[in-house]
Amino acid sequence: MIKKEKLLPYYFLAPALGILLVLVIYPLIFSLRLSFSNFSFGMADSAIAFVGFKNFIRMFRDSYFLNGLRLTILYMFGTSLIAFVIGLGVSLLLQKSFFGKKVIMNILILPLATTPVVVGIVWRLLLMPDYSFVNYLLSLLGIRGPQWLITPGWALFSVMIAYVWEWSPFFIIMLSAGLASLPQEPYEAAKIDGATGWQTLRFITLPLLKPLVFLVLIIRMMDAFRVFDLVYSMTKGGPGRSTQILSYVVYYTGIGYLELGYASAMSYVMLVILVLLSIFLLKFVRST
Amino acid sequence: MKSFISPYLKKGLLTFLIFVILCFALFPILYTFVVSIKSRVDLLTFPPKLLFKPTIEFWVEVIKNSDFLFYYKNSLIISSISVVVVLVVSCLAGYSLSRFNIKRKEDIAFWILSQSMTPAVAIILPIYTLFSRWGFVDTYHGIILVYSAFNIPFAVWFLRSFFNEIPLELCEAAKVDGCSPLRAFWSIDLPLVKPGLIACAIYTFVMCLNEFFFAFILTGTRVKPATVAVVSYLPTDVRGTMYGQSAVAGILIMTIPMIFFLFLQKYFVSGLIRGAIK
Repeated sequence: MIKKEKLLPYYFLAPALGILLVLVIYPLIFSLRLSFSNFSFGMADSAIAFVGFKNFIRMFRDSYFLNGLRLTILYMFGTSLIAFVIGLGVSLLLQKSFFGKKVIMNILILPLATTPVVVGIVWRLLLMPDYSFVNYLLSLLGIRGPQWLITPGWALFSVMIAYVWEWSPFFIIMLSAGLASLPQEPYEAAKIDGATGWQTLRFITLPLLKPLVFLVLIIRMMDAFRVFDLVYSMTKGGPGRSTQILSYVVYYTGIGYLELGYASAMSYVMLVILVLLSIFLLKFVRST
Repeated sequence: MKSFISPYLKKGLLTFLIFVILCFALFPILYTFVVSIKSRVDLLTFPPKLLFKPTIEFWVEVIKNSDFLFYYKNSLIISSISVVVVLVVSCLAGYSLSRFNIKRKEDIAFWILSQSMTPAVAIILPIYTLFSRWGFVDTYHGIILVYSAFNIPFAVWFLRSFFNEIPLELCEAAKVDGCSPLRAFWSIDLPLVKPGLIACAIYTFVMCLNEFFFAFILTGTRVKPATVAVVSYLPTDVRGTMYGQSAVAGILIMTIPMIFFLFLQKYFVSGLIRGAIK
């Protein structure tokens, strides 16, 4: 009887650990083994061989992979910084309470409630070639809009706009909560010293918000780093390879070209980058 | 330094700015609805017709003349069952990691949470290989298992934080009265975390409804959910995007998350903020 009671905590824990072991840890180990092999789908078992670091060396000469890495880094930093600036601006604007603020907040965070695949479809509609409504609005201002989704340079930018649209509200929620919790005293002191609005923002608000800003930025960057659904539903990686970010490259190499060994090696490089980002995040959270 | 702008102008400017921001947030969603009720001809004109005769031809096509509703039903089935699995499993684990004496339980809790950072792309290839070996591809249990695995880490962490907030005295008192640990869990602690369970259920449900990547690779015509079905309206080698149909399907997909979001925002936002600070 006593023994049973002692085991109870582990019985409670077992299902969760079991599912994670089978569906996350085992695949990760499996994939690590694959990444050192030349395995491709449909290959006879006898032909599978250990190839050492060949896959990893190949990656850094592979223009397809390097292009994906470059696009992903651009996407990750671009979207996070733009969304941060918008989020900070809006949460400063909405800092004071006024009539109808709650309704406005509710509308502002609607993009967050939109399914990522649908975000891609919505923006595909807005930016469709030849009949784009955004270009119509631009033409009213006398600007000739580009062919957003079918011009190589603009396509990635279009996906970034859609991502910023979806995730700026996240910054608005988090930074509004952060601003509301700031102490009042420094602001009163600044007022007495006659600081301008800009100086107050630069020397008081931003330094106080720094921990939160870093936290939110890194979380968004980690998510932007592994984006797939939005890109797929908006451009399917096209035109050409101009929006084939890393997760797309891995998907295409593995499921498209069936080179599972090479694709697993790529996915491990992604994993390592994400782990590094999260270690950075953890160190940061623990130090503040 | 005194501002040169009069207060009235400043107020007007601020109102205008807020208006522009509201448009940016809301307009894309409204525009999708507009596209869904335009006719084929009106859709492809430039400059766009601002006044047009609304039609429901695309709605009829998607709802009546395609399998979209079947896939939508798949979404609901997969998400509901996943929520049940996630709640049961995570509730037990979260309770265990909060209340029982386990060696290094902080480390275990943290290890579980860190699993949620695994990118889907890193494990999709082995999962696909294993699933095709086991015959799990394009089955309900296969995709439900994957969805559960990916939502359990956050749910455990989330529910554990609710269990942590219950004062220990309640449990101690029950123990003195001769209440078994199992009984204490079921009739004392569980009812107290009801708000946490509801929030967790809603959050998980929406996450499952929104999921695309796993379903895209692991499901076929039998159990594919709506998020994957909508992709069939995207352009292929032989035709362009089916704009009207994709707009209708998009609206149908985002309806449920939006309703949850608007009416149960308190729960949803708390899930989101906790999810972010994980």
